[in-house]
Amino acid sequence: MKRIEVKKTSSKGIVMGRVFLVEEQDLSPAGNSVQEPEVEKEIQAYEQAVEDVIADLVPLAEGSDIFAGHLELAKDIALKEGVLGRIRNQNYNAQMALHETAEEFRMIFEMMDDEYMRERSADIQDIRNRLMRKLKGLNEGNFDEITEKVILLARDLAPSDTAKLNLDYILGFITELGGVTSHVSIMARGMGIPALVGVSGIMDEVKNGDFVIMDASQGVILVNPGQEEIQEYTKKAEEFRKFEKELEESSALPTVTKDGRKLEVCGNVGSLEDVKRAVQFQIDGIGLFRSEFLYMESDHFPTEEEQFEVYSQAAELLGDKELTIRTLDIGGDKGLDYFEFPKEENPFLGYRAIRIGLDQTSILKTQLRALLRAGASGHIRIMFPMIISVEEVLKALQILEESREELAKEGVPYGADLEVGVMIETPAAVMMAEELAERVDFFSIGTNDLTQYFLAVDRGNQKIAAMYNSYHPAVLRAIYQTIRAGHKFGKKVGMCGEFASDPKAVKLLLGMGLDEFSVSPGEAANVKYQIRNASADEAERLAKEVMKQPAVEDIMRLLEE
Amino acid sequence: MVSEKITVKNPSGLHLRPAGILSGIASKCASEVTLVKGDKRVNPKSVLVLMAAGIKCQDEITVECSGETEAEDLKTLINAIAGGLGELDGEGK
Repeated sequence: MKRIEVKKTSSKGIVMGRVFLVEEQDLSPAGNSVQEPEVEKEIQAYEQAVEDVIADLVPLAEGSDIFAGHLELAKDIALKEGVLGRIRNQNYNAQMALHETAEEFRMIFEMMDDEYMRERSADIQDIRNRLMRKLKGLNEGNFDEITEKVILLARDLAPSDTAKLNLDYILGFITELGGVTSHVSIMARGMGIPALVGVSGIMDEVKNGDFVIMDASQGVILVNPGQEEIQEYTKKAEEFRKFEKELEESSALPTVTKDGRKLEVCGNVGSLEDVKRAVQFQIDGIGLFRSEFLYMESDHFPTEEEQFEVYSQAAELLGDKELTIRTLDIGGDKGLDYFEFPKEENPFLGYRAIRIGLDQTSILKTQLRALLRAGASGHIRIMFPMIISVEEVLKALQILEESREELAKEGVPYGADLEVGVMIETPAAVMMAEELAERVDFFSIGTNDLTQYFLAVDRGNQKIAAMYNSYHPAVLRAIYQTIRAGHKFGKKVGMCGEFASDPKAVKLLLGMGLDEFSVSPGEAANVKYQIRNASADEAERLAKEVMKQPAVEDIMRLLEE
Repeated sequence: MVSEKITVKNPSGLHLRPAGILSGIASKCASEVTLVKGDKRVNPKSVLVLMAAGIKCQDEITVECSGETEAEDLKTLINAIAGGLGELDGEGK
């Protein structure tokens, strides 16, 4: 038995079956030139190839617009003239002439500014390959030999290949080339078929007809496994299916623990497009809408009107669910083309986020006016980033008040009672959490920056990457202290860092009293599942125990128990 | 030579399907046919060339025919384009 580990998995699931190896065809042109007496022979060969391809396509074209289009391309006189011209005038053989002519057309289409037309270059490639197969005397690939359920193994799969497949017979895909965003990955995810792509060397390891177990959840391929492994993975496959089913069922249910504590699982998003995708998942709202993209995708500071449009549309997509929008968090590692940031020794300790907004108040005010206006109908919450002091909060609230007064004077509708919160991501904010809680409506803990600032560990520095650890007792205590400070003043505390979706952290955070988990929308179902299967009481005891531990090691031992 | 101007109404312009139909009709014309869009002059008997011209919805194009059957060929082509090349239900005829 051979065991192959795969790093990237592109569509999850566990299956086992015989391998069907997609036969490889060399479709590159055999590149010799031809002499005068052979020219007529090459022309005849090409004309015969065209005739054969047309004969193949005519029955297919009846039921399919795609193949009807391909039929037109096969008949095309410009393609034919190009090929015949090259044979006659440049002494190319038919294969070279076809290759060059098709390539010329493909380039023209690939450079067009219309996406539809650019995609047509794949059609030209398809016709070129059909003609080339005829010239080389190759068949249409061996896809029609698939007559039972198989795991398909190929060097790579093109759209025209997958179009030929009867997907009912495909248990899984394994390809040597390709990435998680390649055509086959996207199709496999859409169809719920397990896929492992970019598995280098796999073609040398596995033969046609081998029995294979593929675990696309863990990224493992077992070639010709023993009875024991087959039993083990049959069980695993069953468990996986059960888990997937439970996940799906629970995602539509409310976020409540076994002992009845109600929580919220929200999504983190970075654009209006993200919001559109996020609402497809079962989320309780948006816990973090990074407004930076509006500024980064523009070539000027977005106007109040431009921002209002985006915020209103996002709020409308969410209905009465909350939409927490963080005001511009720029600087640090994020710049703008149209705004020059001073060169800084320590950009993460520099001129960024709310510091810019409070320094150049017109930038902040434009955004706040847009948010207030969008809040007239949508459930918008405003969140200020990188706060270190009460003074900053008071100043930001004052600018917000000025914006309200202006809108009222202008007779423009706005939301009068939007909730206003702050990000807790600096040690100063943690130390001042009670004073801050008195003055705002909610907290959101940003664990990525909080960990970096608390531990004085640059999260981008590979050399000290191992030291960057949110399970450090200092970070966990900071989180706990923040949650307690918020609750003391009856304010909701959420978390929008990656830590909130860490499988080991969910129960701990629940036990600390976190009210809202804001995670990447794809993770929401997982987090919800964990919360629904946990007891808040039990989690609380766990959290208390964790808080007593002096070192990461001890904490991890408790969490893994 | 005879010619006539017409506006393309196909929602996605002359993409593969309507271009295929137009080139099929053009191929049956005995006269020499040229399609003019801006400074581009293309032979509509080739679907590839026709698509490469990137003719979009609402583009105004000129159809030119030259040869013994030019008058009827022009009429056939103009009617086909106005008829939507299989995409619109005879709208704009």
